[in-house]
Amino acid sequence: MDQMPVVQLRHATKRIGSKNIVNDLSFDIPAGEVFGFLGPNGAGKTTTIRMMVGLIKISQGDILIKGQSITKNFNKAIQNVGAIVENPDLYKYLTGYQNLKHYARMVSGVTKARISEIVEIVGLKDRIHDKVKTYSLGMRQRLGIAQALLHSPSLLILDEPTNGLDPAGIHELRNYLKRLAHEEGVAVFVSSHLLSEMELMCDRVGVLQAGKLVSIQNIKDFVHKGGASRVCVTVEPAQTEQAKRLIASLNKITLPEENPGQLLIQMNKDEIPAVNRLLMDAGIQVYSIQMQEQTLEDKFLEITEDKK
Amino acid sequence: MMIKLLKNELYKLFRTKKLYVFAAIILAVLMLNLYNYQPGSESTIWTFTHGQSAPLVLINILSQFMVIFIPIFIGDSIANEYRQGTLKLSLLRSITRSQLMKAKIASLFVFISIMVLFFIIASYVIGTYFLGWGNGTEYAGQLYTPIEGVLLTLGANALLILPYMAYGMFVISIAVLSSNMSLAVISSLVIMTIGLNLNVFESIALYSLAYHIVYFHESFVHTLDWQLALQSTGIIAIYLTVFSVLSFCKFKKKEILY
Repeated sequence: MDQMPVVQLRHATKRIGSKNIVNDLSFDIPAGEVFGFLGPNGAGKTTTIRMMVGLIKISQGDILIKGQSITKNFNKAIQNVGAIVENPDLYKYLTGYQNLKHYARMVSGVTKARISEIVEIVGLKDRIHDKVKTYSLGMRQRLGIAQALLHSPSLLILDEPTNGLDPAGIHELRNYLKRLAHEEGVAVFVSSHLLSEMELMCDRVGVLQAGKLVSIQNIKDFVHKGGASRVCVTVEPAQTEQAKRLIASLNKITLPEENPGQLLIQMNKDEIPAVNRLLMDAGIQVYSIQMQEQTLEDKFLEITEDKK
Repeated sequence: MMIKLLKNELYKLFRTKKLYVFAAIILAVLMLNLYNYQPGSESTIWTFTHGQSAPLVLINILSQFMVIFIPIFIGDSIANEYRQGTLKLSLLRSITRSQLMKAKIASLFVFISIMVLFFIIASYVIGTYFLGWGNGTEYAGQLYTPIEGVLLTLGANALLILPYMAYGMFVISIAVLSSNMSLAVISSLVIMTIGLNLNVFESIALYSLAYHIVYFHESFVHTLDWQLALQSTGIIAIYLTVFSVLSFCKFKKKEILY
């Protein structure tokens, strides 16, 4: 089995003037993984993608696609890549099918049957012979994904792929990308600001902040690791202050909460019984205890705020 | 791969309305010029009386319009595609930037050839419709047999393809540098208009591309002067080479940001 990562970033740096837009990025993406690339606006996500596909030069370092350098061996490297960078910009005066034929001519081995198969997969069968200018944003996104998949790439790079898709479309795309990665071994690199979507879609995420990679880890570890969860305890409103004092005696932090009788406490799951017992023994009437899992969004904000 | 890339470029050329609009403009201008045309009258500088002379005598009309059509065609093919992001998708394929540039240059050649051919056919048809075919082709005070006239017409128009291509390469270099269709079209037109106005200065006219776009064929068909013909060809070849090298180098290094 081929163990070589599909993508290898080696100290990839993009410098404009004296400023490093992307600074010393190094990470690998193996086959069969959906990799999420997170970062606030202006962090350098799209610049990184542009370097990965050779649209802009790498100032320092290198990026290898299936072992081929995108700078030194562009043709061999890029033939393994299918991508949408920023927007699915297609010829609006051509039909969806004519667009796909246009891009199919630029690679060898894409048959009419393959085009039909892809059209079916992205759900554009009924509108593929309509002009692209009549398409909704979601349909253009699907067509963009179709052109990226035409030549069965080993690496699929998608910049904000769920933009414009309706919930059903997002669900379909997510399942398709996961299937593509996990069953067909394609490495999928997704950049998105929809953190909830990334949480459902990705196996691993990397967080970019001001051009630097500040975190890269498995999605489950990323969300849950090290973090105490928030627990929402609802008590009799008249007993709120008494409950707060008791919880403070356990050295637990109580977060501000607007609703009367509700306490938000930062603690681990295994500490809940002790807190419950303490409150019960003191005669506090506890109506509910609910764990609020830390989301990718919470974690993302935590990391990006920390690194500012 | 080059054939496939050229096929893509030509497919786009025939799918957009530009080509047909340009053809309609040429047709309308020819109609306007030959409708009510009275040879030698005060309202015209032309004296030809046979319809078959039209494509050769009116050849400058095409030159004047090609100065406008070529920047629009290139602006759309390069600068507009860059801005709209469609160029980016093509560059994500396993093709080199040089290959894509060559395909675009080849499509420019096809575009120019189609326009030239259309002008010849349209001029023959409209000229014959208004003046009749006639017994020969009149050009520069001489009467050529119809066969000679057709060959002369084809030759003169074909010769002008060379300065048109040099002008096209000049516009391509501006389009690559500016990445903006309006800027590419306007700056090309401004520079060419200045060049056309400078043609009155004989000492520099021979070295001006604007001069050759209008008069290049004359040293071959008007008064055959081989020395002048070779000199003119050499000057156009220099323009062609310089702007080709500039376009290829700049396009190869260009950062694609749209």
